[in-house]
Amino acid sequence: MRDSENAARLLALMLCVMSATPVGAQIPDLPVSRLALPPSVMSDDAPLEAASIGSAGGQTLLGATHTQDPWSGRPVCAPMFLKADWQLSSKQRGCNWLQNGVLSTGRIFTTVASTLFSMVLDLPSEHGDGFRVRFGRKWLQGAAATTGEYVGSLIAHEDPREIPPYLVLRPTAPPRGFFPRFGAAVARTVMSTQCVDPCRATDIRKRIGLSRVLGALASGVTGAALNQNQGGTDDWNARAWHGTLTAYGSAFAHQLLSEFKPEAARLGGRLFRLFGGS
Amino acid sequence: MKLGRHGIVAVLLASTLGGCVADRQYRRGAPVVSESLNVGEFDRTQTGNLSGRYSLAFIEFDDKGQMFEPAQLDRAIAEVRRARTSRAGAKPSIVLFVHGWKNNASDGSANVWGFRQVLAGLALNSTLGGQAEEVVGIYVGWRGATISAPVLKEFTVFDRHHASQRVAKPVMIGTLQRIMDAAKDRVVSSSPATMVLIGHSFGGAVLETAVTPALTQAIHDARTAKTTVSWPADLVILLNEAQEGQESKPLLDLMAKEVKPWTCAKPSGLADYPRPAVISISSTGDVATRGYFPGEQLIARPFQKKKYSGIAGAKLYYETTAHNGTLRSHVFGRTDDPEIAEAATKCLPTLISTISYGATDIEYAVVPDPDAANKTPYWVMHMPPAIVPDHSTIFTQIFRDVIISLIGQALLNERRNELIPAAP
Repeated sequence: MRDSENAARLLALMLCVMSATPVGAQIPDLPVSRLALPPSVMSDDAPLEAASIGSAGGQTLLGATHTQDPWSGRPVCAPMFLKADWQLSSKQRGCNWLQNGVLSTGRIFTTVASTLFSMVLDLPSEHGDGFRVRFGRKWLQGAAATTGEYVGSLIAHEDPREIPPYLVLRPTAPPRGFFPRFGAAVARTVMSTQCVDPCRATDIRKRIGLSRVLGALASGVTGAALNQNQGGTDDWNARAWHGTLTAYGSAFAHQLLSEFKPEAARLGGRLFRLFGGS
Repeated sequence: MKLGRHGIVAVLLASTLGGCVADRQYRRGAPVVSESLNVGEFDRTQTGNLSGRYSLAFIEFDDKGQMFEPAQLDRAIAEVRRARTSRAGAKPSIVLFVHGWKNNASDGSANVWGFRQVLAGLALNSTLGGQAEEVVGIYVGWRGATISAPVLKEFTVFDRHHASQRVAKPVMIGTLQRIMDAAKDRVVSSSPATMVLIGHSFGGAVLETAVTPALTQAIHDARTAKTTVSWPADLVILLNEAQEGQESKPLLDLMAKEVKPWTCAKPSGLADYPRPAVISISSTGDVATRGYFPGEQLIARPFQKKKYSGIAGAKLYYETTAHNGTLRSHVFGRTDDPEIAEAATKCLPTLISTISYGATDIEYAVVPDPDAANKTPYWVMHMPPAIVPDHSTIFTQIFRDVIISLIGQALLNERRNELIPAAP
């Protein structure tokens, strides 16, 4: 029952964090007045000639107030910037770990799916555990994996993103055909990239994918710790290594799915259509 | 402490309510702002302090499709007129953007910032091109987000899809018409402005629904006046549009019936294509509209009607316009992509965009598909995930560059659409 309570607490904490951190959506809007600078700080080459006088409802309105550069007010942790910015700041790396790792919608959905699958299989190591315990355990394992990846990417100076946007700078066309694309997924699992300042075509560096290794290791160790003394075996090391290899395999499967995303999406769409009939 | 079933329900409820995004106005009384972005801040290929200056207006709609503050429209129109009359011969670019799902008009919405980047890029492009023309952006806000809590927000897809149809009419239709009139009318003693409308995701659905009456009217007007078609906007771009193909079909059918089809120009000849009125373009990596959208349509099937019968009708119901193979008219991608290269051996590209990244030049082309059934001015195409990786990340640097280049090239083409001669 202790496990059950812990899992429930974890779920409650998770939901609390979710609602307190509206990830990737609404943040308080920045009032326009904050963006507008007083005339005294306007540069001479950009006077108020852009201002226009409009009329609305009998009211005379100043059409365009001069503003310098609103860029500093942007929500750096919005999903678009996390994906499209060529280089991520420390804050953005943290946001990426939280939003696209620990609390990502995809991770929560896959954890639910994997929990349901484990209930169907009902392996001896999890026999007797309810949904909440299994979900909590798997979610913790996933969180440990993403945290391991986060730490690994910091140590090895890797870009934590699967396909960083600056890769479009590469003069070669993306691979075509099954085997070249399969190879690209393998390469992305074992290798990673970094774009050093000022991030031009010649600044893209290859890095050993330490993040995937550390992520898999963290997942394996956490899995072994959470499943301790269950399943009739006390070989902690064997379970940890087994979990690590499984997690590394999952990382590769993820890269493979990412590479073949267009085909997977088309197949999914067709299945829905076929299921609906004509 | 033990958290029972009721406790979990309470936590879920609190989470939902805590993550509610209100149906509210974000830019109350806000004037049109003139902004200047240092393009180097978001475009690492730019060196030096090159800025793009533009003005930005917001028009916000509530969940019923009513304007929160009609004065916002007046201010936007006043800005369009001011830009047109700012100097003799001025030809400003007016770009209107309707945002998509999970976005709104607040500065917390990434679409607002992505739109700013496009405007700054267009302005810089115009400046570097020699003749600096003003760029006016009009951001159309609606309640694209109702819940911000993770996971739960994904389930708003049904409700927001329905809302995208509701918001689009009737006030939105009139609003777009007034803006397009302000950009193009001859009341102002200046040349017409360049007018581009862009809609993303459900915003594409809003835009298409709202602008279709004006496009239809333009065809009827051309038929009456016996002239070429003068579209109300220079270009309508639908990005990763989340709307079933059956909603686009009537307009496509009308265009096919009334407007002369484009013909494939042989590679040995000269490219002489009339310019497009609408471009619907979706990424092949857009899982949301390609994979999940048919699922959403399947779940909503008991409450929705299919407008066309048979297998083709089912495809039109389940698939979005750009993901429907029978509606696609062009291919788009890098010129060294074998598919694009092969298409170019049959037809000359309609648009070529060379993106220079320092020492690297990457060429993208839009090539007509000679076997396409759709030969109307409503171009439909896919784009590779290297340009736009998924549904939401539309404002990548590469796509901004491509879209700015494509807008420029499409608008340079002066050839108008002609009507098919009426039967005697």
